[in-house]
Amino acid sequence: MKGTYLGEFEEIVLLTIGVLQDDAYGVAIKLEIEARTSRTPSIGALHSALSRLEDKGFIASKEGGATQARGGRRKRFYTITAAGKSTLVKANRLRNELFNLIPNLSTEGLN
Amino acid sequence: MKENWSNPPQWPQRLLRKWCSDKHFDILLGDLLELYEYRLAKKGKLKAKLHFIKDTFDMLRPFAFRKRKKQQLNQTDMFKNYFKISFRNMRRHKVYASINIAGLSVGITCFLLIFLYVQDELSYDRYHNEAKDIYRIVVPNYDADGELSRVFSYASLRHGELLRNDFPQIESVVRFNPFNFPIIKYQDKQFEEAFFNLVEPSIFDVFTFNFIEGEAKDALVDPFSVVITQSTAEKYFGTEKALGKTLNVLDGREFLFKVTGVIEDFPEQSHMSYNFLGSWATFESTVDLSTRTSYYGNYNYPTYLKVKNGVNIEVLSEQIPALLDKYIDNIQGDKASSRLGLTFQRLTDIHLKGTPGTSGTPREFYLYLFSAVGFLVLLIGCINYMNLATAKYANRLKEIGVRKVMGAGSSSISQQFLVESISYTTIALILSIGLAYLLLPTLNTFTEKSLSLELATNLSLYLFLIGLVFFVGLLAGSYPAFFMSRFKTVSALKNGKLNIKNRSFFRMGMVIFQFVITISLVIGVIVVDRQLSFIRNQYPGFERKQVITFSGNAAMNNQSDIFKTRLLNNPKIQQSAMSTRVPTGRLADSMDATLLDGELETNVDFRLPFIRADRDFLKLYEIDLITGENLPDKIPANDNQSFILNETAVMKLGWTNPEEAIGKRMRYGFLTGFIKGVVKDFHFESLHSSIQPMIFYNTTRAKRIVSVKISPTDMPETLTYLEDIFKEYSPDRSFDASFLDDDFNRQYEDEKQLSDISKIFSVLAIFIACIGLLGLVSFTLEQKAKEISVRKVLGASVTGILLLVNRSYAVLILIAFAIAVPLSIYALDGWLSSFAYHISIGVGIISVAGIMTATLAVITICSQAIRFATANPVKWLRNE
Repeated sequence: MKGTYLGEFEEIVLLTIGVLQDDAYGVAIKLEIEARTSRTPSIGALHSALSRLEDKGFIASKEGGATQARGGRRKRFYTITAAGKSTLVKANRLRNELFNLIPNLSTEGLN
Repeated sequence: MKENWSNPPQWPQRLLRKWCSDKHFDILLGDLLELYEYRLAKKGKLKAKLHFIKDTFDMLRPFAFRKRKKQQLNQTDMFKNYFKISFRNMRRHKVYASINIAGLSVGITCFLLIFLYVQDELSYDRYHNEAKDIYRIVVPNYDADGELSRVFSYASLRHGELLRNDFPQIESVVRFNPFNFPIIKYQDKQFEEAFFNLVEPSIFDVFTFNFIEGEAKDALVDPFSVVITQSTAEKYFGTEKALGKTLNVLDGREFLFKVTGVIEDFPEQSHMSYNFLGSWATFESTVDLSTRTSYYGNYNYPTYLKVKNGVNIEVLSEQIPALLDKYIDNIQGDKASSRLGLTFQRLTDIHLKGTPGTSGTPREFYLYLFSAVGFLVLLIGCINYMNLATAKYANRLKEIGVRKVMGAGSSSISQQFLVESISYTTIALILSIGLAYLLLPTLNTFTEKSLSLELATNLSLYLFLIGLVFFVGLLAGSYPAFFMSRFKTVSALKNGKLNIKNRSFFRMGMVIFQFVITISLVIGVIVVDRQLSFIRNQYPGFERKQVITFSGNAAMNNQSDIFKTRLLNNPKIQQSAMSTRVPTGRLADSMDATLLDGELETNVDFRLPFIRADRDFLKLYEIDLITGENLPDKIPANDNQSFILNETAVMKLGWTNPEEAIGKRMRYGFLTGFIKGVVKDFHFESLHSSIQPMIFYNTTRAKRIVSVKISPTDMPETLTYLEDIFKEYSPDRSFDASFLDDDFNRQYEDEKQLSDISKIFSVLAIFIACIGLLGLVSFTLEQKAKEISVRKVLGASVTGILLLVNRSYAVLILIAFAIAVPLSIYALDGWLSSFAYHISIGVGIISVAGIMTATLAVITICSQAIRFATANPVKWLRNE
C-alpha cells in the first residue's frame, strides 16, 4: 500500500484537476499548470504523478472516446475522488492552522 | 499513410510501443501527438519534432513500463525436471557426456591449480601492516656517459642515514648487515646457519613480526642480543624457554649472543627469511662505522624504509638527486647524482618484479603467462561443450518441440539448457577438485610451494569455486541455450531437419579458435624448449664437465700451495684452482680503474668487475688466452701487478685488438701493474645478460672458492678424499661441494620450471581440443552415415571417404594455423628478448608445430572416420 502522503507537485496536479473539472486530461492539465504557475512540467513527469495519485486513490479516471485530433487516440479524463477531496481539504486546513499560529506574522505589511 | 514532413517522427512512436504497457500506450501517445500539434502551431516543425522525441523518452518511467506477466508456474518443479532430463541425457549419451565432462574437468583443474599458484604468488610480503608503504632501497650506478652500469638492491651504510635524517616523510628506516654462514652452538647442539643479520631495532617499526617471547621494544637494544624464529628456538632449545639463553656464534672468531626475543617464523610468502636477527649495536660496538663513509660502492647493506601514510613515493624520489648532491662529493669530476641514484622498490613488487639488476625473467611474466594459459585451457573446455551441445541438437529437437507445444517459452528452454550446462560443470568441478588433490603434491614439489585446497583457510577459494561453476556453466551453456531456444516449434516437430548453414558456421569458428590456441601452445612449448637447450648446449667459453667447487677458508688460502699439492696427490684430481668467484656466479665485485700512460691518467668510466684468481684458474676452466701470458707463478707485489682482461674489456677501453692492450699500465683499486694478457670472452654470468668486461689478477687476499677438476671414474672416493682434506683445514664446517654443471643448469631453473609447467598445460590443452574434435567428428559422421553408405554402395573406397572427411577439417586447421603463427611469434618475442642470446623463431619450429598439430588432428578424425568408412553400408541404409 502506497502512502497517502501528498507531494507538492501532486497537490498542484490534484488542484488543477479540480479546477478543470470535466476536461481534466493529460495535455489540458499540463497547459493549465503552465498557464497558472511559472513551471513547465514535462508530460512524462505529469503522467507519472497522475499514475501515483491514482494508485493512492485520490483520483479516478475514465477513458473518453477517440477523436480525430490526436491521431485517433483516446483521452483519459481524471476526476478527484472523495478521498482526494478530503486530503486536499485536510492539507489546506493544516496549512491555514499552522499559518495562523505564527505570532503576528505581519501580513499587514504585505497587503 | 504517406510520410509527411509535418507529421511527427515515427521511430519514437515505435519505441514507445515496445516498452510501454498497453494500458498507457494509447493515452500517452495521444497526449504526445496533441502536444506535437500544439507546438507545431506555436514553435514550428523542428522544435515540435525535437520536443516530441524528448517527451517520448521522458516517458521512460516506471509507471509506463510494460509489466511482465507474472507466471504462477511451479518453477521449482520445472527446475527439478530440467535436472532430471539433464541426467537422463547424460546417461543415454554416455560417450558425449564423458567427453564433455572430461574436457570441462581438465579445463577446470588447470584453472584451479593456476588460480592457487597465482593467488600464492600475489600474496608475497603482504602480511606486514601497511605493506604498501614499505620500500626497499635500490641503488643504480651510472658510468660517465650516463649509461646505467649496474643496479644494486643493497645500499651503502650511509644511504639509510641520509634518508632518515633529511626526510620527515619517512617513518622509519632499517638497515641489515648480513654476515653469512656462521656456525652456531648451544651446549652440545651445533648447526651451520645460512644468514645471520645484524639489524637496527627499527626493523620492528618497518616490518610486522609477532613476538612469542620477549618484546619488540627492548629486543635489539643491547650489543650481542639476538631475536630468533620459533623453529630455530625449537631447534636449539627444544621445549625450553629460549629467552635469556646464550648462543655461541662462530665466524672465525667467537661471539656470545643472548636471546632476547622469539618471533614467529617468516611466512613462506616472504621474499626474505632470516632465522637470526642480531642487534645493530653489536655491529657498532665491534666496528667503527664512522670510517665507512663511501656511497659509491660498498653496497653491502639491504635497507628498507616505511613512509608515513599517504606519502607519494614519486614526489619523494624527485628530491633524491638534490639530496645526493648535497652530501656527496663529486665523483671523478661529475655531480654525484649523475653517477649514482637512489630509487625505491615497493616491498610488494620485490617478489613479482624481481630484484633490479639481476638477470632472468621476472616472475610477473610467468604469472601473466600461466594465467593466460589457464584461462585458455578453460576456454577450450567451454568451447568443447558448446560445440558438442549444439552438435547433438537433432537428438533434442523433438523434446524441445514438445516442450514448446506444451507451453514452454523460449526463456524456459534457455533455462533448461543453462541448468544442463551447470549440471555438467558441477560434476566436472567435483571431479576436478579430486584431480587437483591428486596433482597438488606434484605441483608443490615442482614449484617448491605449499599450495593447499583447504577450504577452511581459504575463503576466497570457496567463493571462487562457486563463481567458477556459474561462470563456466553460463559461458559454456550460453550458446547452446540461445541456439536451442530459437527453433520454430513446427519445424522442430515436423522432421527434425533444420537449416544447417549458420549453425555449422559458428561451430567451424569455434573449432578454428580451439586450434589457434592449441597451435600457439605447441609453438610456445617448442620455442621454450629449443631456447633452453640452446642455452644449455651453447658452449659458454669455459669447461664445466667434471668440475667441482666448494668454499674454502682462510687456512686453505694462506697455505694454498700446500693445500693444492695435497689435493693433487690424489691422481683422480687433475687440477685445482682458487678464486673469489667461479663462472655461473655473479660479477659483483669491482674497484675503480685508471689507465696510466706516463703522466696521463685516464679514469675508466665503466664498471670493471674483478676475479681474483690463481694461475691455474684459466687452465682449469680452459678459458682461451688470446694473447699475452697467464697470471704469474708467484703472487706479484701490489705495485707490480699482472692484469688479464677479457675481450669486452679491451674493446670498451678503446683498443681495437687485444695485442694493443698488452704492456699497458693501469691502476686497479689499490693495485698498479701492467696488462699482461687477454682472454677470449666467455659467459661468466648466465646467458640472460651480455658479456661484461672483466679483469683477473692475483693477490694474497682471500680466494675463497676452490675449484677442482676430477676424473670421471671413482667419483665417490674422490669426493671422500676431498672431504677428508677439507675437514683437516676446516673441522667445524660441513663439506658442501657442488658440480659446476649443476650450478650452470641452476641458472636456468626458472625457465626450466616454466617450460615444464607450460608443457603440462599445453598437453592438457591439446588433449581437450582433441577429444572435442573427436566428439564433433563422430557426431557429424553419424549425421552423414547415410551419405557415406550411399557413396560406398556406389563404389567409393575407404581412402576416398577418409579423404573426404579430413578435407573439411583440414581447411579449418589451415586457417587456425595462419592465425596462430603470427600470434605466438608476437607473444614469444617478449620472452626471448629477456635473454641476451636467443634463438629466432624460424620456419623449422613453425613447420614442426604445424605437422604435429595436423598429425594429431588427422589421427583424431580418422579414428572415428574409419569406423564409418569400413562399416557395412547395409547397417545404415537398412531402416529408412
